[in-house]
Amino acid sequence: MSVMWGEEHFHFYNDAAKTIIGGRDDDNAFGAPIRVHYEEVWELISPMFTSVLNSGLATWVEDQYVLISRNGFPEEAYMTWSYSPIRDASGEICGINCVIIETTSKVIGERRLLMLQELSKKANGKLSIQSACYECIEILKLNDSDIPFAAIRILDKQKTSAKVMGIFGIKVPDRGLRESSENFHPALIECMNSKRPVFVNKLPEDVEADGKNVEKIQSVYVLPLIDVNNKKSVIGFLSVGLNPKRPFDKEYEKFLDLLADHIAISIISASAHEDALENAAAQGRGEIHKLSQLLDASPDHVFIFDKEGRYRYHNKATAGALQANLEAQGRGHEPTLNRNGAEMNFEESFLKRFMKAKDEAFEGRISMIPVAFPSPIGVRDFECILSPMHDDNGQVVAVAGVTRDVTDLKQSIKVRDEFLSIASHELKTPLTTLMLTAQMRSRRLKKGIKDYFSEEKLEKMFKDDDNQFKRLNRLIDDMLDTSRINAGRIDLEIEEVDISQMITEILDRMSLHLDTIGIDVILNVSSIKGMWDRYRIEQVITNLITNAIKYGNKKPITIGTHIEGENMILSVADQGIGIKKEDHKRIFQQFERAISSSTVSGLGLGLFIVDKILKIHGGSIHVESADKKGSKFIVTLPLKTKLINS
Amino acid sequence: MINKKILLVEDDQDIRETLIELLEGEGYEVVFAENGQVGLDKLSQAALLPNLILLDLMMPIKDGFQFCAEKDADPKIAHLPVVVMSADGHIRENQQRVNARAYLKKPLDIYEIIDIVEKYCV
Repeated sequence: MSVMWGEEHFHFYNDAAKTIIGGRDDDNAFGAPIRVHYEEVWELISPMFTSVLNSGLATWVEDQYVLISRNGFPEEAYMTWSYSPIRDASGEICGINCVIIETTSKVIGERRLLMLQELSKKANGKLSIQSACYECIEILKLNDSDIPFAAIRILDKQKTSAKVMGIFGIKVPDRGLRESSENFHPALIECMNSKRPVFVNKLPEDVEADGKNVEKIQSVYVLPLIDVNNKKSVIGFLSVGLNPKRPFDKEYEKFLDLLADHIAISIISASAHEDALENAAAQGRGEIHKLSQLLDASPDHVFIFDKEGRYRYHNKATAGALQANLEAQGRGHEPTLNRNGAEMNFEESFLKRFMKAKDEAFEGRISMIPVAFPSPIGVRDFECILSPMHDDNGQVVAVAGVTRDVTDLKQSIKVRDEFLSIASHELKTPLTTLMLTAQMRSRRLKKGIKDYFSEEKLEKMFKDDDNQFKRLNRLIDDMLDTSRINAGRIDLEIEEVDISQMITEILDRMSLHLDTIGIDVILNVSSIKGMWDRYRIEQVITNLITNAIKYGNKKPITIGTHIEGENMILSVADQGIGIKKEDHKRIFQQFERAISSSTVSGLGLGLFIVDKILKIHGGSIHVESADKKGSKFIVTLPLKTKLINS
Repeated sequence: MINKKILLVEDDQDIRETLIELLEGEGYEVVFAENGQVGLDKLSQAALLPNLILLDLMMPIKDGFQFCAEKDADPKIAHLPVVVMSADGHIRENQQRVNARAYLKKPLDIYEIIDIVEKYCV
């Protein structure tokens, strides 16, 4: 509060006014003309004086910005003051009563609070650190009095480098670049280590001013941005310029600390968002990677077509087939993705069907077409299913294709059908005999031919029937064996077997048959003992002898055995029609016979079963033969069975 | 009276023996062969050709189809009637492949055999 008195406006002030007068409060100040005290603002306040003196009306200004030098430098201050006239006894105005209230704290406090509120409101929930820094800088810009310039640097996760991610008011050479911590300004290093703000008296040489008033600023205040929840680690730096027109008082310091806190929070929340997004993306990538690995593991061709029939996606199996197709045309270096069948020169009639099926799929129908394709292992049969792929609106946007190799399936079906055909044919043979004989007996009975039914004759009939039944049974057993062998379900019952004894028994059983045909058997057999499945080895030898009889042209058969190391070698040789070299492997296959299948009776399973039984014992069989030169079947059998699962 | 002669070409011994018994019981003279090759040989050696050939299709060495082809190609025997027997179900196919008067499906019915043999035996 003060009074200006008289024309010279002598200034008389109370103690409180001293804060405003500031440093000019010396011995001569009291009573000095007002102009002296308020030199800087004279232009501003003199009109107010004049108006009060002239009009006799009080006047005031609120929160007026003034620049006053009370502490040795021009200081930003805000005052609310009022002038009211002082009248003398006659009513003349002889002086002015001035009441001044300094509202600097209020004004500056309010604007700083506003900035912090803005930061709270707008700078949080950003999805990236970059956008958080950008938003913070935009808010800082609004208050260029308190913050004439600023730069936000963010440290990387390893804390070995930092990047300027927001800046205004100055230009720095490392803007946008990642700066290694080795090259950090000492202030940054000190700030990082102490986790306290650092005052830099002199701007680095490479920093240029970039805005009004900034030229005058020569110092920088560097604050750490700290994550209070994560062991108070430093995540970056806020470098700000200080208001040259304000002293760096406790309020200012506190304000800047709060500022740094707010900015840190904004960045941490953005960082958390970034991490969450990255995790989701990584998980998505992980899922896609898993899925694509899954599809690549499938032997089926899996692919996606677009409307032009281009392969937008294909799994490994598909790529392989497409690649092989191109290589066959000498175009192996060309890509397969995003190209269609026409470009890759698919066979014409197939391409037509393929594209027609694709069009049907785009119309919403699932279609299936058979297809034959060359592959690294020869031409294979496939079944291709094309189905529509819809987007969320139900529109067909692509076609998914799966092409499955059905060659083996078809082959299996073919083999099965062939087997059934052959089996039914073969089973009918003993059935034919049984039916014929039954019918003939019935007929004779009706005709009254009684002596046909003597006890002796009846016995023969039953014996004959019995043979046929046994024959049927053997056939069925063979079929069962084959099925079990193919399913890997043969179990061996190992016991000690004397091979010469077994051969003798077998030949005994077959003696009638051999005598009838008139075949001689030459034996070069010694008493070798082995650990084998008796029934199965019997099966093997019986089969070989039967074949020798069947194809032997009634010439003598030779059976021989000897030991070689840990194995017994058994051979059955005939001098019959022989087997062509090209058929030597084929005869051991299912349903194969030494002569082409349709001409030889018998299920053709014999040698197949023999081969498998020997393999299960850990042994093997092969044939030495030539067309019309007889055949010698050579069996190698370990003396002690080495069980091998088929 | 000269008995009518039948050539029976059948590889299965049991069926063959039963058929021979049946046919001889009906008064026919039966010559047999165990496969197509032996059948052709017997025909070429025969003083008197048979009146009918009863032919199995599935045989080793030379099957029924091949027998027929060669028989049809030989003018001396091409005229001989053939009745075919088979367990194979593809009657129509097989009948087309061979020039046969009739087709007997296995298992055989003796009354059917007797009727057909009587019918086609010239």
